[in-house]
Amino acid sequence: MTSSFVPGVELDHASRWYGNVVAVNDISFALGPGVTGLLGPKGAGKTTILHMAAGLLAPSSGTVKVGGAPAWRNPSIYRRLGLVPEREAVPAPLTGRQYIEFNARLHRLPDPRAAAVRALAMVDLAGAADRAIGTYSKGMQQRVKIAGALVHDPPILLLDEPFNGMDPRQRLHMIDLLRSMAAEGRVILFSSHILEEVERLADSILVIFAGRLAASGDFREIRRLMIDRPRTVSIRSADDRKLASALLPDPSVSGVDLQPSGLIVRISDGDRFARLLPGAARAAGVSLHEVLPTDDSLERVFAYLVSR
Amino acid sequence: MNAVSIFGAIAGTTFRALLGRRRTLLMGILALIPVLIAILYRLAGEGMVDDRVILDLLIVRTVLPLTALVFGTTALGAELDDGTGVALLTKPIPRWQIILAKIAVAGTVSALFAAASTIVTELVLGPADPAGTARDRVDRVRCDVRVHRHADDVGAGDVAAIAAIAAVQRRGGPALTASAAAPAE
Repeated sequence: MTSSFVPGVELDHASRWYGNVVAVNDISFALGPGVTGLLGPKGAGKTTILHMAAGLLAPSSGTVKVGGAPAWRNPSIYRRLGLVPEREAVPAPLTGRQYIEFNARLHRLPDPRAAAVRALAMVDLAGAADRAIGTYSKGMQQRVKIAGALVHDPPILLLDEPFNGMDPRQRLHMIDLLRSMAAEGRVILFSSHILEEVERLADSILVIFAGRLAASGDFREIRRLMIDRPRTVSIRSADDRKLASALLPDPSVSGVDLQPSGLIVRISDGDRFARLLPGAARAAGVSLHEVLPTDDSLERVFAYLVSR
Repeated sequence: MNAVSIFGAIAGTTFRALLGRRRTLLMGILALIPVLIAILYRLAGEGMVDDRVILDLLIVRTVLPLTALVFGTTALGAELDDGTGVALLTKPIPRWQIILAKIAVAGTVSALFAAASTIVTELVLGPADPAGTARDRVDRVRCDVRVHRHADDVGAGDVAAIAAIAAVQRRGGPALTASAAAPAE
C-alpha cells in the first residue's frame, strides 16, 4: 500500500446512532480492490454500514469516504459506486430492459440501450429482458437489481445480502460474477449473515457484532478463531454420572456440569472431543441418547469474537 | 439537454406510479362527487343552493386539496416506502432535481383531475339558468377565476404537503432520511 493509495471505501471512526440506539459503533476500515465480506448476525449494523458507505445515511460521528471523497450529500460518488440494497423492490410493471435502461438514463450514459443489454447479459437475464419484472422469480429480481447497480460499470460495488432468495445454481453464478468483477480490479463489499457464503466468496472479511467491528482480515485466520473457541455440548446418556467421570480426564474437556436434564460438557478442543466421545462412552459402557452443541448459533460465535 | 432527459425519465416513472389502477379509480370517484351533487342540484330545481357553493366548497376546498395531498404524498412517499426510490437516490443527480420533477408531476396530475371535475360540473350546472342574466354569467366567470386562483394556492400547498411528508418520514429509514435532507436545506 503506497501513500498514493486511495481506498475505494473508507470508514474512519464512523458511528451511527438512532436516538439512544447505537447501530454502528466507532468502526474504521479501508477497502481496496477485491471481495470483502461483511459478516454478522441480523441487526448487527451491516445495512447501516453499507448505507453510510453509499451516502444514504450520514455518520453520526467520524467520516465515510468513497474514492477519497465524502459519501454523504455527494451524489457525484454514484458515478463510481453501485448499491444493491436488500429490501429494495423493483417496479413490477416494467420489463427488465425498461428498468435497466431507466437506470442507465439517470446515469446520463451515452448509450443507455447498449449499457442495458450489457448489464442484463452480465447477470444472465438476457433471455428474460422483455418480461415484466413482476413475473420474475425472487432470484431473478435480485439479479435485475444487481444489473441496475452495474449498468454504469462502477469500480465500487456494495451489495446488501445479495444471495437472499437465490437457489444454489444462481448463487454459484453470482459468486462467479462477483469474483470475475473483483479480478477486474473492482472494490466489492457484500454483507451476509451466512458464514459459508462469505467463506466461498470473500478474500477478506469484516465481522460485525452489535455495531462493532469484532474482527477483520484474512478469512482463514478468523475461521480458525471461530472453530477454536471454547464450546459447550449437552449430552443425554444412559448414565450421565459415569460418562462424566470417563470424559473429565481428557485435556479437551475443561469442565463438566451434571444436571437433571443431562450433562453439560465444556470443551476447549472440538475436534479432539468429537473423536474422544464415542470411544469413551463405549469403554464406560454408557449408551448415548443425544449430543447437542449448545451454543453454535452465529450470535454466540460473534459474541465470542467480540469478547476475545 | 441531459437535464431534460433526466427530468423526463423521473417524471415518466412518477407518472406511471401515480396512476396506479386503484388510486386513479378512487381519485376519479372523488372528482365525480361534485358532478353528482350538481346533477342532484339540477334535479331538485334551482334556487336552493348557489351553484358557486358547489364549485367553491366541493372542488376548491375538498376535491383539489385531497387530490393534491394523495398525489403529492404518493409521488415521493410510495417509492420510498416500497424501496424503489433507492435506485433513484443512488444516481449522480442532485436531490432537488429529483424532487422538482416529482412535484411537477404531482401538481400536473392533481390539476388535471380538479380541472376535469370543474369542467364537467360546470357543464351540468351550465344550462341551469337558461334565462341566465349577464350578471349570472359574470358571476360564473368570477367564480372560475376564483377557482383558478385557489388552484394556484393549492399548487403551493402541494409543495408544502410533499415537504411535510418528507419531514415526517425523515425518521422512517435511511433512504427516507436521504431524500428528506434535500428539501430541509
